[in-house]
Amino acid sequence: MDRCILLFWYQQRTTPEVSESHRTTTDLRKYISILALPLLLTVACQQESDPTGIGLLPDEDLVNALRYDTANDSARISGRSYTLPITAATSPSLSVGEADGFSAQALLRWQSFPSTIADSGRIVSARLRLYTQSYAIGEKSRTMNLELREITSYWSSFTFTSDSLVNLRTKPAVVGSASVTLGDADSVDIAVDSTLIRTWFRMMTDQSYFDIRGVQLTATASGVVRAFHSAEGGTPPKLEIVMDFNGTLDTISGLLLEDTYVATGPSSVPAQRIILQGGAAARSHLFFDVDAIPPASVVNNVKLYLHIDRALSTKFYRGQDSLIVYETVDSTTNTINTTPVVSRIDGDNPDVLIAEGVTLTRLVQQWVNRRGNKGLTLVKISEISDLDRLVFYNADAAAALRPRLLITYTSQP
Amino acid sequence: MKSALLTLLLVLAAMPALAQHGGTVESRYGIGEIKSMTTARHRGMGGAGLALPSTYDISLSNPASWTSLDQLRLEMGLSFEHLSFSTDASSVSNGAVDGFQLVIPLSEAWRFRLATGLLPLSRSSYKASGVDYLDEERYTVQYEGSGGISQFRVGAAVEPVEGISIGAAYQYYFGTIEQSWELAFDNTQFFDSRQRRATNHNGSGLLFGLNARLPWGVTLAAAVSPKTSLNAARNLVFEYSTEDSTVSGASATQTLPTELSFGLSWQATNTVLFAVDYRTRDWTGAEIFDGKQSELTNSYNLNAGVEWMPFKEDIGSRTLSRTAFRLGFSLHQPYITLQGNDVQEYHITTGAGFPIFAGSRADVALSWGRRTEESPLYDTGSIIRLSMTVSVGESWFIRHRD
Repeated sequence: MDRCILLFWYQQRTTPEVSESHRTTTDLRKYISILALPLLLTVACQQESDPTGIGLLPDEDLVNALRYDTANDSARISGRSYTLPITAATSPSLSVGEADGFSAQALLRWQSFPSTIADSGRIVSARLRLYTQSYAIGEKSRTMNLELREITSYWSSFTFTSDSLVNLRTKPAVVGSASVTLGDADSVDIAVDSTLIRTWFRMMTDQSYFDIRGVQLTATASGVVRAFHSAEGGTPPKLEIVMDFNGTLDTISGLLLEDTYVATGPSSVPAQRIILQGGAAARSHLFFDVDAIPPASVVNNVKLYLHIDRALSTKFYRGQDSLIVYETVDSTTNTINTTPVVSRIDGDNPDVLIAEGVTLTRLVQQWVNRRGNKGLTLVKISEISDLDRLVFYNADAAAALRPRLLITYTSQP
Repeated sequence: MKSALLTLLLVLAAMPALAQHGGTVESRYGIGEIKSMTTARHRGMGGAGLALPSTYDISLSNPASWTSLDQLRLEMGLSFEHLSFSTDASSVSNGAVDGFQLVIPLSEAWRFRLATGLLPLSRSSYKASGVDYLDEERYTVQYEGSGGISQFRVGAAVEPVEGISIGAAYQYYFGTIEQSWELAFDNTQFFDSRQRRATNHNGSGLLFGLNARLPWGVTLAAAVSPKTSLNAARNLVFEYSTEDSTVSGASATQTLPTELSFGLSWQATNTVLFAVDYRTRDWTGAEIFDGKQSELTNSYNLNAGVEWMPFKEDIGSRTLSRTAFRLGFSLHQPYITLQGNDVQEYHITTGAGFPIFAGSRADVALSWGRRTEESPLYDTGSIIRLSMTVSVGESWFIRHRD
């Protein structure tokens, strides 16, 4: 009986009983197959469980959606406004004039004229035609003294801001002017000095067309700021030059118009308000402390409520009750993440703006994950074109008027 | 044989696919719902089987019993469970493979037997959901679990003294339990919350058994599975609206407390066999990954049953003479209690065993049970279990005398 198992195993495999073993193997396979059949049937018969038994879970193990409301939960809130020089290259409006503490001027240049004219022909006339928009600050009926001066320093609409004004060089001589009272849908023609036009023709021929700097349009002490269509607007400014070539009249237009405007505005708004100003841009940082939300909670939804101070807000232009919310990346350098969240008006209260959406939810999720909370940056909608002001109550206002963040979140059980 | 093993592997490969939902939220706790470690023969007798001698049925809970097997044996089990809940007139059903065991009779000296097997130890399988409101926002929370812990077993048993058998098995535990919850709002403006948690287990444990055949047809048995600490590694994934969903890993231990089992069987007559078992395991101090769970308690099983082979003497009927009928009763306190109060489960069982081919046998068992304590889950609902075990035998390693 005491034998080597492996040896016996070998013997069994080498004896004629192999056929018996083979039969057994066949039987085994048969049995296992028989076993597999009810198994597969069992699998096939399985049914999804009903949602039963949730009532058994202990309270501490339940997952619930929770609310964090800065209006109720004594969250630290702070708001701070700041001014930011902005470029208006894509603005559909060119604002010009002075009124109510605002001062605005426009810059225009044409980058192409026929290069074959140079000194040939005679300039019969040259005029800049501007088309008005209905927007105005100040007394709309006042007469504006529009003046053009030749710009001699480099500028680009994509970089020129109110801070660039100190470096702007112009010749003192007025190269065009008009004194007009403008309606809502008027146009104004300003005669342009033909000497300047001839200079530009020559520069085209000399292939130094990139030195054509254009003109500055101002209306000092006008008591009114008016908006004109820009190159981005529906009816852009036109420069039309009538030439006489040996008795044949021809009209030439300035091409490839580039324009912009810069504005500065009043700073008389109370510091305890959140101010968003278009044109002479003012933006605001808004900070909410959400550390009371347990780390690693999942943020499901975020709603930002802002209450408008109508008394301090203005609607000179489109007057949109809307703002854009951005993530503040660095509040010292005023840098933002450019993914926007656009607000809407609260259906229950037209004085309240609500911002919500995936972008805001993701942003607050980062705060909750303790990845740094630099707050929000609030920007007025149509900031580059509209010299309107939108003012909101700040953290020191009555509870119902304060900025409010309503966060829906789920914490780990 | 290769083809047979291939078929077996295919069947075993289907086992993970069985980790479907079909259990209750109770399996969310501890290491899930723990398998009873009984064959269909034992289940027909209320689960009593520790001290049952058998020439064909491979004991899952007492390695010492393996010495009574005369042939190479491969045994596989299937079970089907149907739970009905009276509270909301719903039910869950599930089927599972109860693993397989192989015993090789290596030597008749001391009746030396080697055994190996792959058996499920626990199973987490549930899907529960509920609806709630946050102010005006309606949302659904769903809890889901799947997976379980399995054990690979290698063991041996000997009978050094006539009537006294001892056995031991090394058990390697492995498996992953995945649990998740999801909170979904009806309002699409809201981001849904999801968490997935996968806990991977591995570790080693031992199982010892002792059988003593006494005069008057009495057999006493005892088994102990000493306390074991499993290594547990957990991955936790939170899905945020941001792209930086966090994955955090952590390691801890998960203890399987000591399990003590005692059994007694009595061959009252040539055709009637009685058996009774008691098994206990105190889970109150068990470490479940990162701490103790208040939902765990001391579990025990008290099982008793009778096996009757009325036609055993009828040598004219080969099949009937080897057919057994069984009845049993068991009282069981689960190790998970979600009600704050310990609840008991009692089952009435019945079953039969019969030869199928040559030395192969099949056993089937049916049990019906209820809980003693009213609960929001079961209340007057019932637990029905159907089990089947097939034992295939062949005298590969035994040289028969001419």
